[in-house]
Amino acid sequence: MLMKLESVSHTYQPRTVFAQAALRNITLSIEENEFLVIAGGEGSGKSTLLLIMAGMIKPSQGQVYLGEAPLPRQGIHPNLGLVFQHPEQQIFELTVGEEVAFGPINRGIKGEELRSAVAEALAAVGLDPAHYYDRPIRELSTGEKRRVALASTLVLQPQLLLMDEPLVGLDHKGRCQLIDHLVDLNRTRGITIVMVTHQIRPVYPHCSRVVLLHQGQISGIIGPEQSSPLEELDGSEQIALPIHVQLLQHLQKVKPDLPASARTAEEAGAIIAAHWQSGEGGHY
Amino acid sequence: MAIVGANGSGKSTLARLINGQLLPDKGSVIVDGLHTSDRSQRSQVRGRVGLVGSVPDHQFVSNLVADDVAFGPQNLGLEREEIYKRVDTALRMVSMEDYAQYPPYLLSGGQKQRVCLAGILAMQPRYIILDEATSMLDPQGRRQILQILEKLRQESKLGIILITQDLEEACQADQVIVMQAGQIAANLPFRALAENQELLNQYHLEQPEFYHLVALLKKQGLLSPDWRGDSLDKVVEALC
Repeated sequence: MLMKLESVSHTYQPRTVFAQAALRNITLSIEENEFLVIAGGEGSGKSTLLLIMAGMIKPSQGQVYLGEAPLPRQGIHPNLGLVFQHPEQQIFELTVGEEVAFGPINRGIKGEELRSAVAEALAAVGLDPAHYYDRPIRELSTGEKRRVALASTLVLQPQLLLMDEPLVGLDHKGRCQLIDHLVDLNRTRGITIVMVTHQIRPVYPHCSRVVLLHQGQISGIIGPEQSSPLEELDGSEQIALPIHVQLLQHLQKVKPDLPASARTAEEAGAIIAAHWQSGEGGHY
Repeated sequence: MAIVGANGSGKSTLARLINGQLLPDKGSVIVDGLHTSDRSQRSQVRGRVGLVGSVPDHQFVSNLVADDVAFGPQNLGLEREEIYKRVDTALRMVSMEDYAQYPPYLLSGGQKQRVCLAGILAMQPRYIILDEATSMLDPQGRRQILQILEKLRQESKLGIILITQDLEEACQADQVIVMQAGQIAANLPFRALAENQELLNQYHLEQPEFYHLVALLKKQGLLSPDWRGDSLDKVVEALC
């Protein structure tokens, strides 16, 4: 287990007229090398939960553990990397190389070690260091900027990468590229990823679990490997499950031995075809 | 009308040209007979074309939600009573009336986006351009906004230009314009585009989930090649 949240609750502006309970009694474990998705509608508490995991917000109640030790109350732990929503708006250096080097410089890394760390981080997100190192940030597309922001976090070699809605605003190509790099980081480098998103479809094939938040509480945990029937979870209408999962759910009502989920539409199609061809399916 | 296209294809530039925030190097932009290049007509164009952007934090000007929504009507020189009425109605339209006295920084991303939309609705424009304005909303919130706009379109003849990278959102549009490298690459009905994988690849667009699933099921022989349903319920019906 990499991280554990125990009975975490959080209220913004407590004891004021604006008091708002953002999270209520969240208990959750994140395993090493997971690709965990936290999904939910607007105001469900997703971003608050991520900021609590990062140590940026101290929860009103409950405790967060990184490994066995409680998460320090100040600053971001060196083993954690946090990529904010719209990270491209937080870029403040002029060139790609300078931006990615900012973190390591502040940790006292310099010279050749710095240059190779920056080059490695850029390569990990698919930006060729030879081509991008001296490129002005203003010339980059949104997707490229977002990958620069990711490289700036990766260069500090986090064990757990926390990302808030990294797919918003990216086009199909940018989204696919970013997901491919995240999957690669997760599989080949063993980085644990927690991603907050309301767009489940593009990450569903790659994730280990989807934690569904609704009004500050965990209303259910689902996953692409799930075979048992999916219950009607509170807030599930706000996230739109992938349509192939919805189809399997519908068909399962007629054929209970069909699995409740599949990673991709292709996989779901093959499962249905095999089932139907074996004579157990419908009329067509 | 929906405008779709990849990052950098010129969608937002086109939106800002229509609203008069940008002026064309060549050619002219005419809204209801008013030229954006004519300085005396430009403010009228901006009053007629409301533009809602993708990052709500860039659009807030006040410390309270109600004041923020009132900012536009105030600048139209309206009477105080009329401003109150419009703010109230606009916040109700986007289901944010309970947050009128909240500071915007306490709202979630989706709630902020709805407040921005209310700010534009309070100005009662003839046309609204939503530039990726629903990207931060969850599917339910998105559906809600699109329903509000559809109602306005029917009741008050509001013209809607929906700019998106997500073709799925464009399903209600009468026509879909595809932008590529600063040019209009295609102008066709939603379904013609959604069902044509070759065209979608050419324009770097993702096939809407439903049409992707239907194409797969047809390939597997589970649906007949000429099946033309448009909902998951109909797929289930056809399969069972």
